[in-house]
Amino acid sequence: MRFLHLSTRYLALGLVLFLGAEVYSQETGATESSYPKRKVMVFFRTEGMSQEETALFYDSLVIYLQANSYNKRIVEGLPISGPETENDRSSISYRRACDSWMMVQVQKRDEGVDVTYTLYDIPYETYRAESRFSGEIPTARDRSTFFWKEVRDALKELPPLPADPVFTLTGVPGTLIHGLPGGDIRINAEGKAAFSAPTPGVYQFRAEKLGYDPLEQQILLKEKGGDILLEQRRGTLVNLDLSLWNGQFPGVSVGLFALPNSLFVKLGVTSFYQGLGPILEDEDEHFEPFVSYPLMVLDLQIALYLSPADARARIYLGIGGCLRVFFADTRTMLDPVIPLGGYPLIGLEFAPNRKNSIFLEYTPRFLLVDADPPESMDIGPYLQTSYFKGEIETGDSIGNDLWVEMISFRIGYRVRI
Amino acid sequence: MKQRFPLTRVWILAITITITGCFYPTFDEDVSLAAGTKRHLEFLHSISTKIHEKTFEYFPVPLSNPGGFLACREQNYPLLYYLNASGFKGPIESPSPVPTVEGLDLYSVYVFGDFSTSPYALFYFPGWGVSSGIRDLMVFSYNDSMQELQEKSSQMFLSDIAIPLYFLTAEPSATENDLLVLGIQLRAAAAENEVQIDSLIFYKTEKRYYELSFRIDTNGTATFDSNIVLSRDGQDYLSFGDPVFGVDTSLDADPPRVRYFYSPSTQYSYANCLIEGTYCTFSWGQGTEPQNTQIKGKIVSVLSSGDILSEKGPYGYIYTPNGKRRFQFGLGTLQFVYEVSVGGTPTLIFTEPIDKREEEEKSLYLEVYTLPTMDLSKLEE
Repeated sequence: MRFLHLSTRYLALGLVLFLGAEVYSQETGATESSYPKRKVMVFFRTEGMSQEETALFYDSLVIYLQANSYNKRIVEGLPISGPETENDRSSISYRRACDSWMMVQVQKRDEGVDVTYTLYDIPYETYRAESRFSGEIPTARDRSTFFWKEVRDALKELPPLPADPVFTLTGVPGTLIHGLPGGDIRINAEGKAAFSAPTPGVYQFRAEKLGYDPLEQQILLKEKGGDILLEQRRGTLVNLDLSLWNGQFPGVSVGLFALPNSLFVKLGVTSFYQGLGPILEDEDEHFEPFVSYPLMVLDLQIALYLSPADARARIYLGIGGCLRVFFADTRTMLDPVIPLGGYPLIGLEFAPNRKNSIFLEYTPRFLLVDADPPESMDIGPYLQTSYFKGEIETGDSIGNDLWVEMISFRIGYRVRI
Repeated sequence: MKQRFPLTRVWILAITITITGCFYPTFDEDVSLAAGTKRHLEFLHSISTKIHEKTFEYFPVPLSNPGGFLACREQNYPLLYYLNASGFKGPIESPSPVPTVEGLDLYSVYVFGDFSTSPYALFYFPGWGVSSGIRDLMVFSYNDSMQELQEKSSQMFLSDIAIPLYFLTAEPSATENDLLVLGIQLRAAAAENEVQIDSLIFYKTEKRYYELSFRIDTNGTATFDSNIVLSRDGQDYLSFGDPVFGVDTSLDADPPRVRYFYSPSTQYSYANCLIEGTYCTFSWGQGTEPQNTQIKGKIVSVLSSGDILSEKGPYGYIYTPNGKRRFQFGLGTLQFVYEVSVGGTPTLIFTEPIDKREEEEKSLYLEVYTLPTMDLSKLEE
């Protein structure tokens, strides 16, 4: 019984210590893998103040910041006002072994002051805090007690440095990077993303961004941090297709990408002036190697790739519309029987390399019929008789206004420009 | 290491090639041409039948109630049916086979009479009488109330009409063997119960050409109407160089491949000749030698307006009386049949056959369209 009582007490004590340590850890931001302290160089500028006032404000600021509980070491700026550019401030800070810097600017007005401050994280190449506040002109007591509190609190936004060196990726904002230590990371609006990794080491990652070619890269990291530039290439903007409709009639089309590599609008033309004759004929028919019709079909498609741009097999889906242009000897016109149609589109593309591919598109066409069959006859049998004359029919009618051409596909060669 | 055979790709290629070879596109030039022209025509009637003869031609009676003569051909034997909404009557069969002569229609046909109660059809078989001695001009009637199709008369144009009504008095020495009918045109007469027959006849011995016009009524009774040459030139006959129309006029020659047309409105005559597989057209008027015109293709009618309608391929061509082309239009699956007078208005009649007899419907559909001749320019696209 006594043993149980003691055990309970030790267990409670352990739990309290553990929780305490956790709370302390969260408050200070300290982690097991962090460097001892992050060092922040503080630059300071004033406007409308005498040198003496400036010195008083600066001293109070540094003293106040040094009393921070966020495990950040404060280093006075040299010179105090610091250089003009962000890069120069980073360079000076880096030379003084600081990994971040803070610029505080105080502007004195008639009865008050405006304070502006920024906190920059050099390894991560990002601003951690950026704000301003105003108040009455602080007394010496105010400056030592609460005036700089907001500035000091900003220090907690500075994360601890990991034990491993930090590398910065520079690329297109929004790019998602897979495969690096620490999981997926995304490049921020400034085009930067940071990660830490044990060095030396070889790492492979994949960077994906809509509109850009996926980038797969292997890197050797042996430095104590540094920049990695992602050489992302904008995706395909133009496709050129050479194809055969139903494997028989030649067509050419140009695809323009509204969203590179992904969403495209395609304009195409298929000529029926010269095509391959059907190989499989009725026995009583004689084989014609070439057939010709005074017809041209104009196609407009919009489609979206569902597969990554570097996949060997890519699927795309879309919709399209077509106009059938009939070249009569009298004049060129829309085909009086079937002037136009629309269709869903599913495409499969095999790309052995980035530039070239072969593709197969299936486009079952819903064709508008603008002809009147004889009374007591539906349009379907009328068209079947008129067009196919005992051959294999390629579709069927829906009501008297639509003919569905089920056999409608396109095979071809595609080059990305 | 042994490389894996790309079986999937082979399958895809094989299936693609197989599918490739099966189909025709949903397009037919003839159907599209006809559809474009039909927009300018007025639909008259439609009729369907299950008769089985493969070779046929429909000669509709110009009424909205379906009805018309259907001339067929079964192993060189002509057959005639009358179709209406309730079915068909006939056939009346020819006792003798009629040979097909390249470049000539099997027959010229014209409908006349009272269309609503008792329509008549006049048939002329070019060259039939010459080669076989069989009667080449026949009148058939359909009695609507009796629902009866019958042959009203049959005779030989030369021996029964041309010789007794003209040559017996004008050229008594001319015999049937000495005369050659180069062509006959059937057109509307002044009276609805008559058909005008304009003919071009060659008198071999004298090498004279006669243009004689006769009328034939519903009983088959023929009447001499006029000598076209006389009314135009003040003489009885024309003398042209020989041969004018590329015609072999020897006794044992085949029927001449000449189609003759005459326009009362312009007093121009036309000979549409098939010479070595190509049509050419000569025209002549008052006191002129035949001139080779620009008219190409086969003339199917000289219209009451004087315009000339010819066909070549899937197109119809309209020429002015002096042979200058006005315009062309699509015919495709449409067939021009004749120009008849409907209520006193000259009207072009077109048919479009849709043959589904070997399909599920097992019917032959016949569509009829009309266009008043005065609206001919509507076809100009």
